[in-house]
Amino acid sequence: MRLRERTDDDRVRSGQNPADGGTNDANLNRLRLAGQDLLTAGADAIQKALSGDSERFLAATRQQGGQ
Amino acid sequence: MAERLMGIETEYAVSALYPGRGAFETNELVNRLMGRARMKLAHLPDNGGGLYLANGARFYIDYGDHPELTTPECTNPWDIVRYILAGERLLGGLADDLTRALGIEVMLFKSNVDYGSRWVTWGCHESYMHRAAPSVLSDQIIPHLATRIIYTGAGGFNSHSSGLEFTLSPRVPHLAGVVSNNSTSDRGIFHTKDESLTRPGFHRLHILCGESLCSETAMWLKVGTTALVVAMAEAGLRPGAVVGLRSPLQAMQTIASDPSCSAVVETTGGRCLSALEIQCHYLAQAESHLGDASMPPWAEEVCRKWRETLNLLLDAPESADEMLDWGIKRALYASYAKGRGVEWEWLDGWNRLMAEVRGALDDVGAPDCPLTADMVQDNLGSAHPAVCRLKAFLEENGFSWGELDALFRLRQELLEIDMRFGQLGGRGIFDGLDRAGVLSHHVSGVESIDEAVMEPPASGRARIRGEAIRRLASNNGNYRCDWQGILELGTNRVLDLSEPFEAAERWLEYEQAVSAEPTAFAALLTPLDGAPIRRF
Repeated sequence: MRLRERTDDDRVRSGQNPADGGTNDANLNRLRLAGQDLLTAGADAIQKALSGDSERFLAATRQQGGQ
Repeated sequence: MAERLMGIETEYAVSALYPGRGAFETNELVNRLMGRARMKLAHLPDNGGGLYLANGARFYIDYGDHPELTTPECTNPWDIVRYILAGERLLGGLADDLTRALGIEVMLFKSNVDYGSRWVTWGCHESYMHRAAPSVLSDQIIPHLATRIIYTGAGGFNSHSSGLEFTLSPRVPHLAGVVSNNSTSDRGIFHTKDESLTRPGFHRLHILCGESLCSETAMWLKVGTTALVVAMAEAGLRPGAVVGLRSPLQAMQTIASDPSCSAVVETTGGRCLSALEIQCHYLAQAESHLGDASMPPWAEEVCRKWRETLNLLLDAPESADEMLDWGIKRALYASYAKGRGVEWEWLDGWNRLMAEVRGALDDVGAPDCPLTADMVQDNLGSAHPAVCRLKAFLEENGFSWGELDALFRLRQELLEIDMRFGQLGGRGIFDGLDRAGVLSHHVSGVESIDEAVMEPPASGRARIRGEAIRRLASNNGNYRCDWQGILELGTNRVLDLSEPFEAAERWLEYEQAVSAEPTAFAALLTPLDGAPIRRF
């Protein structure tokens, strides 16, 4: 296992996990395909959302306790 | 069929960051946000600087400088979701407006914990009107509240942890007991507050262990199922009787830390049941009483969706990945970590070590701030047992000490991602996924959100309030509003809203108001300086 720093092409990389197609179960296949779509769209949404300096973001957005 | 009345209060996090430097002062920011709301929204003022809106909702600044929106009182779960979304549309518009005025982005977040500090949380509270004796309610509902998190949990990380402990419900680590009357510290699963905000004869169950959610399905189920449990308890049934938990808080913590939904917890009767089994018990109770007069007209639809969701979690837990907040988050976060070379399962060991390292740092008085490799080494020294174990763990798993800071940065990124997940105004990760059409969280019948920004629900006193506010807002300096009435200053007439299912606009003369419902209108008839309102 090797650690990678976040890079701009992470979105593409994390979305490339093709299904193995080894099951005929339509439900499982549907779930798997939907899961891939979710991860691809998620990687894109995360890429757009992240500030680039998470430590600063978390420090600057600190909140007070509420109820 | 019996009508129910319920509502949701959501506290939001707000922030505005200057490019390259600090943040706009929060208190000033929320005051400006409220100032924009006063200028832009049709409203009547309340007694404390907040606003009642034309859709019957309330917007105000709550404890801890959190902008808070309540829904109007609603009679069904579809309207609850509808008015939450309408409120967020409205808030997003205010934030955009303020962004243009300030020249920096004003961000609003739907989240309940602050990852910048370990102990901070804020709320998303539920209110359920009922007529049950409050003393019987806690035993019947606590097992439900402790186990419903398998579909109502917001998902995220345990903010007490220096590692990355995924939890179904980030609010759970902030609960300190089972029953409590506190809302800002020592919070309990069951909150004993019982302020009906109606004429005598009603109670209000106030739940503060829940969370703000993005999934319509999760929001809808949260209020729908809980309202049915309240309805059964009110009818004298004992839906929680055989599933009482031996240690409710510990059980809730166990369930929250188990995304497989298979962990078992012990009941007072000595049985070991999973959250799914306890939820199935509640569902079976509700289904067996569907025809009862005490149940609301929408009970059957709630039971149908409840059963469908429990079956999905039982048969294919990954179905939650597109439908429920915690499932979506877990799938995304695991994928993100994997893309960085970190397997999700590896985090168990990492979290144990981080707890040990953080404990050792606390012991030597190290600052409570994000960890770095230098900070660990400088404060503990390389021979400290925790550091030695950390080095060994890294090596065993193919990492070098030099990669430790990258792991810490990954943690910070995932925490930011979690905060960004529920960002309002279309900029959040959840909204991005929804636009991409990869989620299956929508609830059929939750519609007309734009209309709900201005229009109150079709029934109940919120309709009367909303219609009156729309008509009177252009002269709002002459009125003061609260949940139970609208006071017309000068004449001291009161629009009576103390009856929760009020169907007509009834204005009372001052003498009538004071004599009819003295407790209902006490707050409204006491002006800000505390002196009684002048009689005419």
